[in-house]
Amino acid sequence: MTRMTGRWSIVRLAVAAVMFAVAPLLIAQAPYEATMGLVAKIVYFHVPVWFMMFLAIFVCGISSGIYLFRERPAADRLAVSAAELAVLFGAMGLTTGPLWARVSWGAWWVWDVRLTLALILEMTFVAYLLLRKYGGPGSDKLSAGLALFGMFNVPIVYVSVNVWRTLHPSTTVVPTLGASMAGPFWWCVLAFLALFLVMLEGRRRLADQEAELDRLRLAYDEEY
Amino acid sequence: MPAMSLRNRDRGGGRPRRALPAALALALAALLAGATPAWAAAQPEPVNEFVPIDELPEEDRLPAAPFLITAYSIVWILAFGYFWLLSRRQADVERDLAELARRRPVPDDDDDPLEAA
Repeated sequence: MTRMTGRWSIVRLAVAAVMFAVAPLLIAQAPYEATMGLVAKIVYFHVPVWFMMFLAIFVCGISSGIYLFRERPAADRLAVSAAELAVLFGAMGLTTGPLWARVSWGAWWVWDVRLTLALILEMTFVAYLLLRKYGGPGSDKLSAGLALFGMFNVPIVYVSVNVWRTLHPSTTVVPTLGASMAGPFWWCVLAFLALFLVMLEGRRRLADQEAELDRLRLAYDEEY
Repeated sequence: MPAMSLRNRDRGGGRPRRALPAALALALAALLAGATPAWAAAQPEPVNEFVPIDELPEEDRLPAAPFLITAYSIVWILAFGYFWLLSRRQADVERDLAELARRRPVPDDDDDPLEAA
């Protein structure tokens, strides 16, 4: 079973590697955006990493719900793994965004609703990981509650650009992308999805091994 | 009389200490007075109104390529950094599992949990 999982991970990693190798060619051939020009090509990485962050948060939130209400330790391990990926992809989004903003808006950061809510979402999952690391006994349940809170914030972050006045492009941009831009964009989304699955699988296996190590240490301490 | 002479000596001794800052201030004032016309001439015209334009002048535009390259590089640095961190943690756990197996006597039965891990 472990060998099978390992083989699937290698297949996924190979798929992600091929997709990311092709992505720069597609991005280079895609047309420039009329008002923002070259810098708008950050969209091919910036938006997919946010999609992956949202996906990681949903995985974390649903797994945390299962852990809270059904008490399944495997769900908790999946939640921790996904929370780490949420922070990782959030960090990618929060660094690529200001680089785009500096050229397009003339400012690295503006305290507008979308940016502020995205920062709060990132900090929520940083808090989740800190709680897991330093929270002591019972922190698993507390962090699961925090993950649910974070998950319910995702739709608010997503629609914030349509509800409040903001500098950030609205959610209609991606669905209305022309074919020449949509092709490379969705290619990159799938490439990041493959990368996400590889990372999640690797992190989940590590969490399983850590749990096994803890169990064996306890057994060893009781025995000797 | 000795006390008087002592006071006088104090006053006399204090004079150079007061004279030095005054001389420095005077020299600075003279320097500024001499430099002011040239300095003032180098100042740009004051801005009295904002003139709107539709297009940003070419020299004011930030070149986009370094920002684009930096953005893509950051994503890759973070991704590879995470993989490196993951592999290091995995190696630590495997080392600990091996250490635990070494310290623990080998059980007779085949289903050793350490091997399964």
